[in-house]
Amino acid sequence: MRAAANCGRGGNSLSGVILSAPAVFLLFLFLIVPILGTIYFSFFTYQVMRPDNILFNGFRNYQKLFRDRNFWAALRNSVYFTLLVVPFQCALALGLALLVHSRRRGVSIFRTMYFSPQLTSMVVIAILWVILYNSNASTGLINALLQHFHIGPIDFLNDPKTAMNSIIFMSAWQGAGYQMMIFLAGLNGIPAEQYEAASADGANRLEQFWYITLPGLKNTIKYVFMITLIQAMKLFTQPYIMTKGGPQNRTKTLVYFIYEQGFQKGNFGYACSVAAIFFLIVVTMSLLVKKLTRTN
Amino acid sequence: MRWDRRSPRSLSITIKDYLDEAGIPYPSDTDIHQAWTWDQFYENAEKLTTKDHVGTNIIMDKGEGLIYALEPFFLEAGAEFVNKDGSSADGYVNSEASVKTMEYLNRFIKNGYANIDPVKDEFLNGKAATLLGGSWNVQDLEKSNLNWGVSYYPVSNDGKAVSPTGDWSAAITKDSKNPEAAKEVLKWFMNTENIASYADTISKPTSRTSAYEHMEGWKEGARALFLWQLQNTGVARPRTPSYSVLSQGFSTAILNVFSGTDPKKELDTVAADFKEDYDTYYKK
Repeated sequence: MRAAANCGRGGNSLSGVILSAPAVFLLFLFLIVPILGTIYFSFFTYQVMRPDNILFNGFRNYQKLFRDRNFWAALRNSVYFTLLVVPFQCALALGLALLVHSRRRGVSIFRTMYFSPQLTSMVVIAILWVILYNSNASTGLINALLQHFHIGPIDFLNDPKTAMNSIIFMSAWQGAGYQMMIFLAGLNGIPAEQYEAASADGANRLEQFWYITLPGLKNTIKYVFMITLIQAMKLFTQPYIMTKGGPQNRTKTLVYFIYEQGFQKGNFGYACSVAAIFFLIVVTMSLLVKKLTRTN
Repeated sequence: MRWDRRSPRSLSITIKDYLDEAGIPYPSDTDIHQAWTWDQFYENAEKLTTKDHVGTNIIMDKGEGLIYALEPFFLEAGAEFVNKDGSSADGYVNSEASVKTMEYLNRFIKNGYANIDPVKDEFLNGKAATLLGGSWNVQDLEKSNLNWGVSYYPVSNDGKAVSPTGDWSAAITKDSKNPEAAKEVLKWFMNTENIASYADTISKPTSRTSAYEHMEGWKEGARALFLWQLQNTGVARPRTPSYSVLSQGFSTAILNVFSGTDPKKELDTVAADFKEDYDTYYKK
């Protein structure tokens, strides 16, 4: 019988390998190979206009990187964006989820409305918000509204003080819908009896939120926090479409910096070194967050 | 070996109704000596700016379009971007003439006569009274309801006229294994008939002069003016292997200046980045 059981287990393992092989192969081809290639080329002087002159240069790209004030500025911008957008977007998503977590008639319309920005490409959304943010009140809807209150005009995307915050606001608006759906699933997992019991014990809505909802959503919050953090560090589309990394490099993030070095300037080797460091930073941040939020 | 098309990217295109409202005579489309000077371009942009439209659109895009469309201003001021062999930008892109040109262009943005963030088709939608446009605009304008006209690219106050050129090219690399075969393919692609058909479709002039016998509309009107500029005042973009760094650096610099930074400092950064790139990858 043990032999028969072992045969069954071996057969299952083989089936598992065969069935997962295509996915693993694709993962290897499109994820592992590029990562290894990036690390490999980061040790070379590689300018795309000089394919005849790819030279091994050891750690020189990394030495240049740590001396490059543009790299540190890009890192600072990425961290600033992440530190603000993650709590803002998660709080907004949780708030929306609580609002639509109701059996009232018509609430599904709001669920659809709040989720709908997710259905549109970020490129399209970014182009629309460039128009909304336009400093000319005859074009920019936001400035047209502010004009009625005798405020502005505000040059949202060309003022160094407001450009990144403007991107943070529209990013949170666009992304909150997706996290809202995840929080909704989490809220549905909290037994209603807990709220009934708390209510019977005299707990008000705020107390119920603090002592039942938040603990019940702990794992969901950790998950949402983690994926939002990783996505935030990868910010590229919005600055590329809306500000081209300006004004005065205030919205140039690390991924934008990598793109600029690799695809605009052709400094492929240097871009790979920045990408390798970026990969390390994101992995470190993720592990740190996981460790800090781990419960025994 | 190269074959290329040339595209004069910028002329002054004007909405005549707005000029009428402001009492500005139409700029000449037949005599380069009657073209708007820098001072006239600026003063007219000021007069043409209202709450409904700005005086001009000078931002083609926030990337390559900046150096492409605005380089003539710098050349007209006597500034070059790089030295003759394209190995150095220090003392050229950051010269005093370059700085003064940046300051001139910044006045349009600073005073609200041009948008730093023009919406798509700003001119076509009547939101800008004039446009530093290109030959490809003509097709859209001919289909529009705008009462429009063209004139020459603004000339310097002392009459120096430069206009931008440069578009797509085809080339065979020196490492090609079959250069003769590639040459034959390109000769076919770029023969008179094919190039005329392609240029007509995308409304761009071509460097093959024989093609004009097969192209309509280039003997008079707006297209004829583009062609005249191409043949008489056109200048290529800076010739240097570090062009991608120069272009990207210049775009960043001019946008930074438009948002309030010091032109000299920005252009010094462009020169320094250029030097680093050239010395690392191309210096012999």
